[in-house]
Amino acid sequence: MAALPAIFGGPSGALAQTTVTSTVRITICGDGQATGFEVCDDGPGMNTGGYATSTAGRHCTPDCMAYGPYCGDSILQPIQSEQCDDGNNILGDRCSDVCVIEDLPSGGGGGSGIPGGSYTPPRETRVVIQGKAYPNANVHILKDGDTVGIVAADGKADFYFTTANVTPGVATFGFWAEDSIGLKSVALTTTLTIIQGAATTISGAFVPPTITLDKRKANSGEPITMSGQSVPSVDVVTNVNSAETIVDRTKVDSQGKWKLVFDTKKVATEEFHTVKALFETRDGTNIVKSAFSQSISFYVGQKDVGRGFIADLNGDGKVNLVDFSILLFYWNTPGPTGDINLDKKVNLSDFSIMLFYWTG
Amino acid sequence: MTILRTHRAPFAPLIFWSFGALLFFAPVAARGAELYFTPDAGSFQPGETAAVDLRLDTKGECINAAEVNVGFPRELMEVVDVSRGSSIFTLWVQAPTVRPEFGLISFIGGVPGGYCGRTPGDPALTNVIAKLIFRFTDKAKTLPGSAKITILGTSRLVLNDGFGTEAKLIPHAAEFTVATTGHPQSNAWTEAVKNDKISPEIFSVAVYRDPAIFENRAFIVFSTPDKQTGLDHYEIAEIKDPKNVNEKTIVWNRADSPYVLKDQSLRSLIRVRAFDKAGNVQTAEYLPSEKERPKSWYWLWLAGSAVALLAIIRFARFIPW
Repeated sequence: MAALPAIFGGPSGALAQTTVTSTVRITICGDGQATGFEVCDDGPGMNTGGYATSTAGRHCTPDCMAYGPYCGDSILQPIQSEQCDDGNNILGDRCSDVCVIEDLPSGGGGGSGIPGGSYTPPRETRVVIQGKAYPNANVHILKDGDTVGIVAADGKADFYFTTANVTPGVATFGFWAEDSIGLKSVALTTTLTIIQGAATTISGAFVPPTITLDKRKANSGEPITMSGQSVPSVDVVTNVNSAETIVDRTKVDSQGKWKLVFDTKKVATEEFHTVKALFETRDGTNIVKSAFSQSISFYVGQKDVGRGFIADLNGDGKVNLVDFSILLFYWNTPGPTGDINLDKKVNLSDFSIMLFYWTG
Repeated sequence: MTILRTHRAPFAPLIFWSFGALLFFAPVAARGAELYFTPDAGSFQPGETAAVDLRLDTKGECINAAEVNVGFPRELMEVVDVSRGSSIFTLWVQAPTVRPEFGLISFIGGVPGGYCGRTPGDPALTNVIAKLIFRFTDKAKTLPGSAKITILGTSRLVLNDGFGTEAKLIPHAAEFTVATTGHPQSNAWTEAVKNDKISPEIFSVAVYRDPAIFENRAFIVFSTPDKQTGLDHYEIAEIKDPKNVNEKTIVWNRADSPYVLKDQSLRSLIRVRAFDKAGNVQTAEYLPSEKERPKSWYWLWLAGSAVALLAIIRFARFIPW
């Protein structure tokens, strides 16, 4: 199991990342409004996707991504007693308004054989998550802090997850990914209200890039190589927070890997600095950005920088309820177990750091 | 109840992109996150109940943990309950506790990955931390009175930045007028509890042992939310004879996670049941496997003897008798 993201201790108050970028958007299949990816939405309990005898009466499918079969869709559906389908519902054009041949002697079919469309409205409450991570990466899906699934992203870094194992009400979904060398991303979360009997789609779940440094301490002028993985062919933008923010940019290769060499002469010596990364791409004239990765600190100078923050208290490669139990055991004590930020107190700050690195 | 304050969503849409999602930038947070109540004003009569939501407006920050202390005038109101049913928090270091003698409600909770504000498209505001159920006492000496609920200065919010950095907190109080104007209205919270027929979420129990805590004794961990009236408490039973469970004789004890097992041999069937405020129950069960159980010296001795015996038999073939 790869080591969990660990960051080197420093003046924590000065290292906070305050900018948040989110691409996550929610569409609800079943609210009667076709938004985002949705092709159609007939409203609560109406998206049956069943057969309809006319274009006007066609039914949206339960996932709101298409219409179910209907007379007028140019597809002959003998199973629905269609004798023809000329793509319309016009009488007198050789194929009737209910898809029965008009210029032939009656073969006994007629309109009466067409099912009327008695369908059971779906009652299932469903959540769909669509997003991007890294090529072939495992994406861990969390619901209220528990892992509910692990899905593999494809070669283009796209992933898709769906579950019906949800109860209506407030839910927090999280997603994080592990890249091909075992680096873990920060978890991206979204908290929303799940509607009963509707399919809620969370789209734009773009996992921030993974990031690592070849060294956490360098003398001034000694280069630091930053690297990680992201979506193929996008730009990765790094922000080094020093007296001023130093922004650099590099291209992600077709395998999803990125690398950038940072000149430490650009920042002050005998000081901690932090770096974080996001991915950026263009869609026509629009610029799309992911959220930032975790911040990793590094020291430029010669002092001893100590050990990193480790939220995985029992060292099993996961940050979950067991680590939380250990934290609770040592709550309000001086530690050292549970004292993640090494301030000799097990308190709210340690709890917060643990939640930041939570893997479920 | 009417929401008297309106809050701007923390995100503003900017552009469309190739994957079909909108890009949203949160403003760089310099204003601080806000804790506020809804409703934050209104008139109530003695004997009436108010359900007041404590909400978080992140103002563009991502918050993952909070310590909240709420003060209320104990001479005018009492706390009937604190519901976590619609809370954005999923983990609780300290479940909501009420200290009526000090007029204080306090809790510490958080959410893995943080809460970064309303997600575009979400049909609800989805920013409640806890629902506070107050009853305006009919023992108030001076009426009309003003009941002010405040977020105390000891409250803290922490950023989801991996450093445990405290966020700037802007608290907002709520103030209610208590006056006798007629007959008390119905109790909305009692109705909500009556209508809650859904159990807490399905959950699982896992057994662990760690040298860092409980002197390496086996303990169980569990956690589950309830999405309606909220979780009330857990009860645990250790059933010594898993093959002959007599439901009537099971002894249940109130407990919380983590829980050190009484039966350290791990031969008992472990049951944990979660109750919501309406009394609905969800039960999780776990029977440790043979592999998880500590090896007794007897079995170790027996296994060792068997191995030794096999070795003797094997070598005996090469010994000329």
